[in-house]
Amino acid sequence: MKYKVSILATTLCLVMNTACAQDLKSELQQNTQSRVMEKPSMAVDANQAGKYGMYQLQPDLIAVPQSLADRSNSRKDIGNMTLVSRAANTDVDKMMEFRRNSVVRNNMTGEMGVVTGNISVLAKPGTSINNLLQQFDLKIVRSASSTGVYIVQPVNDAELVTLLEQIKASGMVSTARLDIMETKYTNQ
Amino acid sequence: MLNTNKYRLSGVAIAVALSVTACGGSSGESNTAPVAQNVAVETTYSWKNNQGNFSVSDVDNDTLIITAISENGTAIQPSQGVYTLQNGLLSVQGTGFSFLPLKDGATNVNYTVSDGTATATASLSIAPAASDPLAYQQWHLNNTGQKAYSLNVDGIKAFLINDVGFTEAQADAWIAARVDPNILVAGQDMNVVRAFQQNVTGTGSIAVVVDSGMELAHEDLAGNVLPNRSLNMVPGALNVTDPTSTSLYGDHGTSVAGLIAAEGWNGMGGRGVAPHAKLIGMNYLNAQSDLNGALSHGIPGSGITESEPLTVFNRSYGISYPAVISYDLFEEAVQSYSAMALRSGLGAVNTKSSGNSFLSPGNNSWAGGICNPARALGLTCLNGNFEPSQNTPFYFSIAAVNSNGKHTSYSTAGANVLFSAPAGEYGDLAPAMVTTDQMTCLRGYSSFPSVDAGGWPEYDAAFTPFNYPGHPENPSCNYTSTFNGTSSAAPNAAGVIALVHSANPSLSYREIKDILVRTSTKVDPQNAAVVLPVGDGEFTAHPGWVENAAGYSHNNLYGFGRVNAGDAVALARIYSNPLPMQVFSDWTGVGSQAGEAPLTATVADNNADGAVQTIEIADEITVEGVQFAFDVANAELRSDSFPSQTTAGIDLAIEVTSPSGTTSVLLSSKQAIADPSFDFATGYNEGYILKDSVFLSNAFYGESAKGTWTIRVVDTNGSDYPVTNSIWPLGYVNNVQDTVLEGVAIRVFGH
Repeated sequence: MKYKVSILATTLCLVMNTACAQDLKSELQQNTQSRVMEKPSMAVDANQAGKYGMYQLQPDLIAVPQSLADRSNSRKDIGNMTLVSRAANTDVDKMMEFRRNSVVRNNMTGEMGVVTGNISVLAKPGTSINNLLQQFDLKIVRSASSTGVYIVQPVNDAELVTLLEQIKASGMVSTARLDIMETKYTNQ
Repeated sequence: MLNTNKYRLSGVAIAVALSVTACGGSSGESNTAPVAQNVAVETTYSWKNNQGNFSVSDVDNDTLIITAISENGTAIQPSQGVYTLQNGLLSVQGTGFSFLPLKDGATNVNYTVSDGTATATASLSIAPAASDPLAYQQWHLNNTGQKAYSLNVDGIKAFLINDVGFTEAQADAWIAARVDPNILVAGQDMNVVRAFQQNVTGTGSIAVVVDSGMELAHEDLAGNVLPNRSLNMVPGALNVTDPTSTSLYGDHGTSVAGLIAAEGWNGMGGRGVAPHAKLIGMNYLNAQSDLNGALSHGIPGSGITESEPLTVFNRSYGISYPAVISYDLFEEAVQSYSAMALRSGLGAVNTKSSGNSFLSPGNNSWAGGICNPARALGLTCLNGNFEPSQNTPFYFSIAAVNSNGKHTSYSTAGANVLFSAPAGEYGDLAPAMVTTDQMTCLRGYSSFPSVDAGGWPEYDAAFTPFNYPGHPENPSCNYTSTFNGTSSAAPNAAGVIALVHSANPSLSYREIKDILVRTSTKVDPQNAAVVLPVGDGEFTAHPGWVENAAGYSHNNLYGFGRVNAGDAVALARIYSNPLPMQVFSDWTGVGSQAGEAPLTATVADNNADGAVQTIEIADEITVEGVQFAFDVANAELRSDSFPSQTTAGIDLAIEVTSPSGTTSVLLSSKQAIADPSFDFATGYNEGYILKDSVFLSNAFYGESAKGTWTIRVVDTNGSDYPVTNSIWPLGYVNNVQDTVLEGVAIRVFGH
């Protein structure tokens, strides 16, 4: 009997994500030891600082453009960004803020993501987006104004969760959230 | 467009044969026999009607009738004027004909013409049709019972004997135990040939493939790709209009694109459902953000204009997780843009794969055997409504069916499923899709890297020979025979939508939906109900097909059935009664869903009575869909439960009954709910099975919304579920506390 067990094959099955036909091969390989992953959220300390919804800040990492990344220090590529470890002498406790290019981990998927610096806003019907922009010093990145959809960005660097809470409390939006680049969806 | 057919008479007209002198009655006039000449048809297209005329004449001006057709010396008996030939169907009307090539190959027949007294015979020669060499294996387009390169039984048997060490008897038994002898059923397809016969092939439609990429230069896609319109959404991409993937192991989007609109009749590969539709690709899955998500719905800045014939976005992706994700207002608004603003307000359709989690909770292996209770009963493990993008009024959720017309092993069910479409199994022991793959044997599902990654080349050669480099019909590995999943069903439905739009470009996205509801095929008509004993009563967890008061039948496995291109196109061409303007009712609810104090309606454990709540809808609306929002609490359901989790979520079942008496099952119980409801932006709703959780039901389409809606929430189980092979939880323990219905609301959309 000639075969080798291939972890890559199993991984492929997960990333290719059409429905996957590994069962027959595993059966014939008598490979009953399927790999079980840990539930991502169980690794989270409930009292840990730096939380936003299902996301946990990763203060020891930062996203930098791939062209500037030290490849020997890179952990993962997301879009055109590379996640790299911060310098060893960084006081990570001071990095517990959600700012553009902050790195987060999605506790549902277990995947890393990058805070884009954008805020996704659904304006309340009849509300002028200009009032929101002026009040919070925001600019529009893209919009579909007929549906109230706006992707906005603070003109100046800001702690985004604090800003988000202020926007939600303004009464001018139906919903608002941080825009995070991540692998939330997979092929199915 | 296709060229018009070209005919020529044979170089030497052959005046035929029989010249008789008739007994001309009392006048004594003589009859001259008719003349028939050989006819040659030089250009035809497979699966399309090719019109022509027999070359016949009669000096007496007698009425001429074609009385016989023979092929290879054998007379062919017609059925309602249609002669079934070796390579196609020949329809004869008067002295004209229409030939529908169904197989590749030349056709030569003799025809006989009669003036009532005398006859003449000549030949009709039809050249091989312009075709696509792999189309004959594409069962989803025209199911002839073909295997689509699967079921390589002899090769598999040899492999089992030579490489696994089976005896011949063991090999035979192994195969027999895993092959469904009824999996290949001719006729179980999307009736695409009938659409092509109506000369509708997708011209004028545009489809956007929102996926992992799309190989713009693929030999069978390039001719349909709209130049410089695709988007590489990865910030900083070198070529922002080229989403071609560099993956070694297959590009999902390239295969999806081929199902929608691989070029037809070009002599390469297979054929898309809409072979003349145009394509745009967006690699959103490689750079997922709200910004790119909005762009992928065509908002300004995407390059898509509100006035162009943007017909359909295909989305073969989703989230598979054993918990219910709360409703997403931002997502709904983004979806509404493509549905209501594009195509000058007629709207674009979004086809969405319903998911591949009928048997498993996605990739969340930590949940162990949470699907076992559902598997044991033939119920879906995850529910399509768990994912918030699928329970808005705007997406079309598409389920997957097999080459026998029945449910695939994996297709996620739910009341939100709108239609189904072919996708097949895995291409090994049952057919999958034959479609485009990354070009060359250096990349793709069909490639050396994929074989190497699989770790067992002999297995691949035996089970999926078409994907194994060197297959004679796939010499450059530009195609695959193993693409499947609701990932395939959604683009197949998208292709049909492109055909419907092509047949009648003035249809709104709602009218396209209406046409598909009216014309889809009720597959698996005997699909059985699943009834659970609950305490002293019972709960119908899966009712099978349910005919509503408007006469439409819906099934949570299949929606309104498998899309039927031929019938949909035929209806689209005569569709002349536009739907009234769409209206949305307000959310009408009680308890916490009405902004009031939470209800305290107890859902008793293992009791079929459950908690029953009624809601009155006062609006006179003809239903196009109904959404139900729930807050259902059980304090035992927490994300940090350890070492076991409560069964409260798994045990929850919900059915709703319309004012007309139609029942739809929103949640069947036994479904995988191993975590509290959550929202990505706000986190877990600890202690809630459902919190601002919305379920869409399409089952009430066409009914009146006005009247009393009845919601019944049930806990169907009173015992533990042991699980194995999991890290967390170690088991599912029956809930001690009763679940509580705190709030429920309804929103109807329709006209």
